[in-house]
This record gives sequence, structure tokens and C-alpha cells, in this order.
Amino acid sequence: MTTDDELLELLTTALDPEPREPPAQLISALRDAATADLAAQRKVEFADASTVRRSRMRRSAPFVAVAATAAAFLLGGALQNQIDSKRNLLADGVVEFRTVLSIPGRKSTAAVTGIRTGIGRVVQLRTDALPILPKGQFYELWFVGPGDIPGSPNRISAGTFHPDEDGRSDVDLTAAVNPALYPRIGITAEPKDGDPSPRGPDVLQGAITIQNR
Amino acid sequence: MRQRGGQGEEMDDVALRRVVQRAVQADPDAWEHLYRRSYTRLFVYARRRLPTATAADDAVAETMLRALDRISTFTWRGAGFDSWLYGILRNVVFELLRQNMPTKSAVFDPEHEGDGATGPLEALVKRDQLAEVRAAFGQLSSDDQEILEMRVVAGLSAAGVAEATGSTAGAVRMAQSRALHRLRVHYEAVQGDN
Repeated sequence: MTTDDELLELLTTALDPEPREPPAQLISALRDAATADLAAQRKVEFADASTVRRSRMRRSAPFVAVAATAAAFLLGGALQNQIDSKRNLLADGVVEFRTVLSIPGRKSTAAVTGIRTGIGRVVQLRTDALPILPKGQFYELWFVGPGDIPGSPNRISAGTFHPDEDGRSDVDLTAAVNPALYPRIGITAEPKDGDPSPRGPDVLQGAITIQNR
Repeated sequence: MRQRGGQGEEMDDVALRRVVQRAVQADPDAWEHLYRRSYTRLFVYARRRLPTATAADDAVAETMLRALDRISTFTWRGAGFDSWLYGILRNVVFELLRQNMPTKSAVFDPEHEGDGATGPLEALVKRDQLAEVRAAFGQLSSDDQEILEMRVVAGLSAAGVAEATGSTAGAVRMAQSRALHRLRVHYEAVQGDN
């Protein structure tokens, strides 16, 4: 007759799993998502620091501040506006979903974060899995709805992009799409032919799970 | 307190807190470390409930992404980081099952999945005994399986299981006792059959 402790020990051994390694592409996707968070934090910190620097200047040397403000207005106003705008969007936004795009049987992946903001969704894409396309082509990110098939698409574009010269795609796209109605994301390679409809098959795709927040 | 990790790795509480602190700051290395450390146990939990290994992988990946998103809400006042992760994974698995994913037809047996390698403990006579315990475990309800798995595979305390399942430590101890009793009944029946 086995005691409770012996039975538990047997069960522990019986259920003890062989160590497993997580798939490399999923590790990569998690790292990409963490890197995207880190970059977003730094953007906010940079914008905040910039605001602090400007206010210190005003306090310590008014005439210098006037000149600096004028210079900033003339030379850097547009850039500052962009930073402030981005900061406000990200700071006020709520992360609505995260997903990993992939193609079954391939190792390519991309990390996508959807942030709900006052003007729609900011979609942050981070991947180094998309090859640089030949001249005259670009990538397009789509929110994909039910029943979407080649020839009868049901999808809305969130924007287009190119990888940088190192093959890195680190882009933020803005789209007024409800992911609950378009619950998948796909990326296609498109020719610059002026036709706005999707042409190629998805080179990466994934399902969106809306987070309860 | 020492906690069980993947690949037989153990990490003490202080080391885990350091890694989690870096993870709060979105350090990719810290997240990779947590992923590797937790993967085996989370995968096995998910695999036992989902129909395919791919679905289990997806569930664990989704769990880690949600953890990344919610790490700022995590505190050490609860039963610990592993309980928190299991709580997230449990929700992810429920959501996947609700999305009309077909349930598995047989209990997942880690020994018969993957490369099928066996450890040194599972030799000869003991192999039969372990197979009988697995068979008995497979006959338990999913609730009984879950509570025993969280206690013996994940190594969670009663408070940890309570946090992950939205219960209380006292209720977990009672449920564990009942689950162990039912395991014994099935185990003795299996032994009688052989």
C-alpha cells in the first residue's frame, strides 16, 4: 500500500516533463516585443526630457530662452511637434493586442503590437524577417476580416513600408480599423502599380486576440 | 525559497526578483531568460489541454506577450511570479478552447511526445509503475488534473495555485486531498487490471 507521500512522489516523477526549448522564432518575437516596449519607453522619456530642458532654459536665462525658442520654432518646431504628437499618442493609448505573425512551416516571424488611441489604432511592427524587396515593390500591412480569400478580399490596409538597408522593419502605422471586426493581420508584398487592392499572398499572417483591459 | 525552472534549472527567489525587475524595464534578455525558464512547465500544462503541440506553443507565446504587457501590474505581494504566469496561461487556454478549438482526444503524455527520451529514473520495474500512475492520472477530471499538476509539476504552493485559479489556499488543500484520493482509487484499479 503506497502512502500519500509515495504516491505524490511517483506522480511527480511520472509527470516530470523532459526539458524543452521554446521555438527560436517565438523567442525572437518576444525579444522584439520587449525591444518595442523599451523603444516606446525611451521615446516618452526623450520627449519628457526635452520638455524639461526647455523649461529650465526659460527659468535660468530668459533672453537665451527667447532665442532658443525662436530657433526651435524655426528649425525644429516640426520635429518637436512630431515627437510631442507621438508621445501623446503612445502615452494616452492602451495596448489592445499583441500578436506574432508567421507562416506555418517557416521560421520568419514579426511582432505586432496594436495600441488603441484617440485617432484609431497605432500598429507597431518589429521584425527583421522580411527581405528587402526589388525596386518598385513595397510591403503592405492589412487588417483581415472574415471570409477574406484571394480574388475576394475583405481587408483594410494599415499602411505600407520598406525594410531599412539592414533588412530591419521597425515601423508604426496608424489605421482607423476595429480589430474585433478584422481579427487577423496579414502582410503582403505589393507592386507599385497604382492598384490599391492586395495582389500578393500573405508573406506573414497572424490572429489578433483582443486583450481584456 | 528555490523555484523549479526549465531544463532542471533552479533559480532562487532573489535571482528571480532581479530578472523580473529587469523584465519590468523591458530588457529583452530578461524576457528571454524568463521564457526559457518557464517554457517546459507552461508548455506541458497547455499541451495537456490543447489538441496540438503548435496550439500549446501559441498559448505559451501569447502568455509571455501578455505578461510583457502586464508586468507593470505584477507585485510580489501575491504568491509569486510563477503563480502569476500560470494565471495568465490558464486564461489563454480557456480563450483558445472557447474559440471552438477541438479538445484533445487523449491525455497528453510527455513520454510519448517529442523524441521519447526517458530519464534514468524510469528504468525497468519503475517504468511500469510510472505508466500506471500516468494512466490513473489520465482518468482524473480536468479539475483534479489541474490542481495536482500545478502542485507537483509547477511546484506551486497551495497559495500559488489559489492565486492562479482564483480560489483560496484552504480550498486548494481540500481539493488536492480529494484529487489525491481519487488518484489512488484509479491507481489501485489500474494495478489490479495488470
